[in-house]
Amino acid sequence: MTESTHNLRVLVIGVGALERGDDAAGRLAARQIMASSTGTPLDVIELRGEAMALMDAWSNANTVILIDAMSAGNPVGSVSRWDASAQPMPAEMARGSTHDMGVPDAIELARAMGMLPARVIVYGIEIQHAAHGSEPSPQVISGIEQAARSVIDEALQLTEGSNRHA
Amino acid sequence: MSKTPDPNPEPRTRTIKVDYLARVEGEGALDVRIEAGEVAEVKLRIFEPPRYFEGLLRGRKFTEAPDITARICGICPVAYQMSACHAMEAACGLVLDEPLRNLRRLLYCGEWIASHTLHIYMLHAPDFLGAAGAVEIAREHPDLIKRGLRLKKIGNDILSLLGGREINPINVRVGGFYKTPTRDELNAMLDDLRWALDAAIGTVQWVAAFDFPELEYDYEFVCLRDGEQYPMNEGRLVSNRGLDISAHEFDEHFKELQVPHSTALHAQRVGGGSYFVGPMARFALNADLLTPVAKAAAQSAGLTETCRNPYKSIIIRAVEVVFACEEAIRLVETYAPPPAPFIEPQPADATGYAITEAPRGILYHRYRIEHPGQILDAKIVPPTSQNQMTIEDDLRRVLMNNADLSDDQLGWRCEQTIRNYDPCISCATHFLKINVERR
Repeated sequence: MTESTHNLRVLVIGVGALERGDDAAGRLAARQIMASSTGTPLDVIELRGEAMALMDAWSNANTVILIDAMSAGNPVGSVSRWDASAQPMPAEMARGSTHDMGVPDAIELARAMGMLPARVIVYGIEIQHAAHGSEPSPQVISGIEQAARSVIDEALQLTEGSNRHA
Repeated sequence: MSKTPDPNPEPRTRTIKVDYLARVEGEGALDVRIEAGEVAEVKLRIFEPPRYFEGLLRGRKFTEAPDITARICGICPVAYQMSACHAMEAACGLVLDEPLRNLRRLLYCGEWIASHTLHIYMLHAPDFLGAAGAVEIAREHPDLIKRGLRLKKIGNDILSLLGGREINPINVRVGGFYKTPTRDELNAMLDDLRWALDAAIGTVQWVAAFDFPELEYDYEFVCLRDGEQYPMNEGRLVSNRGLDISAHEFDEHFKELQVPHSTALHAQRVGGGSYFVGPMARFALNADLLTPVAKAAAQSAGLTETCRNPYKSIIIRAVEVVFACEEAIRLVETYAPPPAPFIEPQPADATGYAITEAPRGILYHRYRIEHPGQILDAKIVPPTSQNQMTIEDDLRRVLMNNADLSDDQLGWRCEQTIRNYDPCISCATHFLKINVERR
């Protein structure tokens, strides 16, 4: 896919399961972004994280930011960022996902088949509990707020940079 | 996979741990201990929090059960909806007419196509090709994976049209559907379904050429059979050892046990013994009812009705995808819109029972309701808990037969063996377990 040089819009995808406590983190971040990004050239959607649905969702996008729950042994609520278009997702991340095929699998499958958008950024919010029917923990809510702010800032930088080059 | 170093070379103790079972739905792990060449312990550990759905259902309206239980699984929500609807309708004494029953069958075709294709292409095939995952296959054979992705999407399209959306469908209700499709909406899927049928035949040919490890056992296969159609929503529960019961007799013949190493219950036959549900069982007891193209595909793949090698379940799954495509085409071509999208159920003080065939095997629901429609009690027995003892039995046999393999090879073979059952260990969890540096 070629880089667009004008009117760039960023597709933000919040991933997770709303009914599973901390696992809702990505989707709740997407909702915060939707509520507080008026005027920002963003399209925001929510998905449960199934690989093929993700690939469908970004099939016409140039720039994508994904927000997902993760468990990497970091402090609960901390936020990590990967530039997945610049380098492969960590092998452990793809191997460790036990739900269906998720975000890392979708990214690497798309890359292998030449179907990855030009720019893909992944934000991971460290979580702890994903039990059915539970609420997100306070630390994760704090991480959601941090991730939402970071995504809006990055989306603005990406679109402003692109428009300057237009 | 992590391995614990062997501290005592003689007599040799081997401990193999597969900490997170990749390409298995849910959160699971496997512990194996071999002492002096003998399998001392096999534990398929499931450390998801205990399922709370049965408790959650108590006190809810009987009409809520399909939507609540659909949340149990992101891969097979239709199965939960179908078993819930049929059980509630049984409690209400409601029997749907053929057009609505056919629409449900079409919906199930969509789920079988999507679920089986995902498992065949993305989760199980890598085991047979020596690949770490589907990504590795995609690098070498992108067109193959693209075929799998398109095939799965066509299954999802059926779910979207009839269920309202792909994940956790919202259009299914006790008594039928909230909205039924038009003939034109269904006809619009025909070209894709015909492509899917060809792709499914190609899938059978592809997987039939794999090398299959040797493992055969005289399992007790258990599935539905109605004598007229390959089973999905209807039929009596039968086995190759003479079982022949109605859904309401399930609790007399099957029981669930709590085991210390798992938060999932283990089901077994009353009187002891494991049993085997899913595609292998359906094929063993219903191959004569397959549609013509599916029957031919099975024959060309060398399958016989007595296939007892669980690794060949991947071929049978592929045959069932052929069947589901062929059946979906028939149901679309003969579609007669029902006079009404649903029949209003009238709740009574009663207990309803139902078993339907989820992609992974039989799914039992039992509900006790009271007028004016409150759920007093619920019991759900998913296919994976029914196969769990059989999986552990298989693992013991695999370990005994392959003790000469290295720990890595043995761990790989164990994972492949577990995936023969396409286990859905927790359903609907979405979780990344990783080690990575923070930026």
